[in-house]
Amino acid sequence: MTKLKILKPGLLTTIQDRGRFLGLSLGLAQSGVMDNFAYDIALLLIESEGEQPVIEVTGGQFCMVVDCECEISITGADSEVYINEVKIQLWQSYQLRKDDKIEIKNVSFGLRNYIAVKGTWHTVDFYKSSCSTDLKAKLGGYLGRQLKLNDEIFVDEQVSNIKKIAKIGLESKSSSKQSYFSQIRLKDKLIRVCDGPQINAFTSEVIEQFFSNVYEVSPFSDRMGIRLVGNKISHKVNADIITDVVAFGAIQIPGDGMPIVMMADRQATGGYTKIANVIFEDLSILAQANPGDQIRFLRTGVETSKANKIEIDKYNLVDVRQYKMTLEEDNPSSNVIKNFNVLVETIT
Amino acid sequence: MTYVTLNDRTLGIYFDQKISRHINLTVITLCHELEVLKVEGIKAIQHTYHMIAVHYDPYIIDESNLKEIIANISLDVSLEDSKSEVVRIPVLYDGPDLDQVSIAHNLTIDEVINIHSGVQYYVYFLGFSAGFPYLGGLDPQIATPRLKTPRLKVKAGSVGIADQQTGIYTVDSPGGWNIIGRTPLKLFDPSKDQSCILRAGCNIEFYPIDVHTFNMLESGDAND
Repeated sequence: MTKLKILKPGLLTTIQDRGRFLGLSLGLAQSGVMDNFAYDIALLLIESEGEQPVIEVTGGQFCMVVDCECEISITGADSEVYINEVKIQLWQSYQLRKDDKIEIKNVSFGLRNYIAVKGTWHTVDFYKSSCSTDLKAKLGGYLGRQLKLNDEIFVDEQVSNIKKIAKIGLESKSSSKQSYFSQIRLKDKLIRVCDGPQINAFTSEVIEQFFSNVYEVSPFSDRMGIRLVGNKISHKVNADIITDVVAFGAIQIPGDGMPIVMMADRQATGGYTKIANVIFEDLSILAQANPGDQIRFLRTGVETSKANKIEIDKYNLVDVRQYKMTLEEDNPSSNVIKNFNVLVETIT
Repeated sequence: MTYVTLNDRTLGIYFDQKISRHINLTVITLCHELEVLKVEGIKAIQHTYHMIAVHYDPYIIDESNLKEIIANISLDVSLEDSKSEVVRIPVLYDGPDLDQVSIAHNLTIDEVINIHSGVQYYVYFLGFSAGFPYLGGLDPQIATPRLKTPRLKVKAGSVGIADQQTGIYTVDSPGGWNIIGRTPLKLFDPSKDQSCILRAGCNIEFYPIDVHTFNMLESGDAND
């Protein structure tokens, strides 16, 4: 059993999984990871059996130590990450030894990182088949709250001793995934959306304005919503509707005309008009947006996003598994640099 | 019935944009019938007054499959079929805004209490926060606009009025409702098998209690 001990808790670090879907009909928020792409790859890199918990770190300043051998992966924002003061690459798996320290110092581009640890997690609370942390209802995750100094998480670890590296964006021809990696480094982001359920609450002139406006991400953005500031969007009548369901990525326009993109911790239902909905993939780009980032929306049909989904599927799995097969065939002791407790493979 | 693609993995089904018990019963029936089918790929089904949302895994099922399945569900319902379950909610009517509400409507405090507790309310759905009931049936005589400045924290159990709505806060949260009382009952308790006391389709009745009874019920709850 590995103990993960928190030495630096960071600004907002929580345990999340895909989300508490079975809680939605009870009025609970979905919760769950903000960046589903980074989550998917983190799980793939440790060859997770199912949708297991990960640690979501917001804005770096995080450090934890493990007390025995285990396998981890780290994905997400472009951050300065160290294992025992040795800088490492993200989007890879690492075999850790006893007393290894993992630290996410500063975030250079993006906002959120994901740490997966291979094995069965104990000390996390499940409710309605999910261990996502619901900060409002105070349930799930680690005692229903964000992680604090000296918190200890126990994982019944599994180790594979096979190094996995996600080769994304290098050979990939998928424009959508190049989109994630290039957009994470840009202040200007282009987000694809489909029409919202109340798009008819707006005139066609206003809809055109919405798609040509550039919005700035407000510092009041959080896991509930990305608040945007820019030219006001006005309604035909008013902002209120008979309460309906708020989907992940729904863009609400309340009375003040400023769009809010509803994210993981959003209320399950709401009474404001929704002009558009961010397509699932591009939610990951928004999950990595910082205050000051400039957002433009691109009107797209759902068909486009379905096609992209298949593209991701194909190259994600193929890339990582092909690489793994190559490792098993090669002599693992060649091209290997051992650096303290970290095994680093050079890729030629 | 209209299909609305909410996003690339959530399908919305909308009925008439009205708050009506008959429409709501149709919605509840559709949810129930869909749940019973245990369709592979459906992750969750939620509803509000007049619409339902089906959250699905697009790697397992797609929107057109879902529409086919839904088209085959019979939605012939009548109000006679609806549950007559009534849940009684004890309320200590000592809220900080009770005075304000009575003054705003030229009523005495007792009159406000009688009006609020004198009718049955229908639960349309749970939303906003864990176990929070959207209720219908508030007497327009006591309908009061939200506070201009919401409070930073309203305690769980607070009973309030906002425009045409009345309801109960189920978790501590910021809020702009006019708080007229509080209930010792825990509307949402994740440690219980049935975590929510209320559910869509049932009816509730508020009944006034005194401080002594409130304290007894509150501590009695801890002994369950």
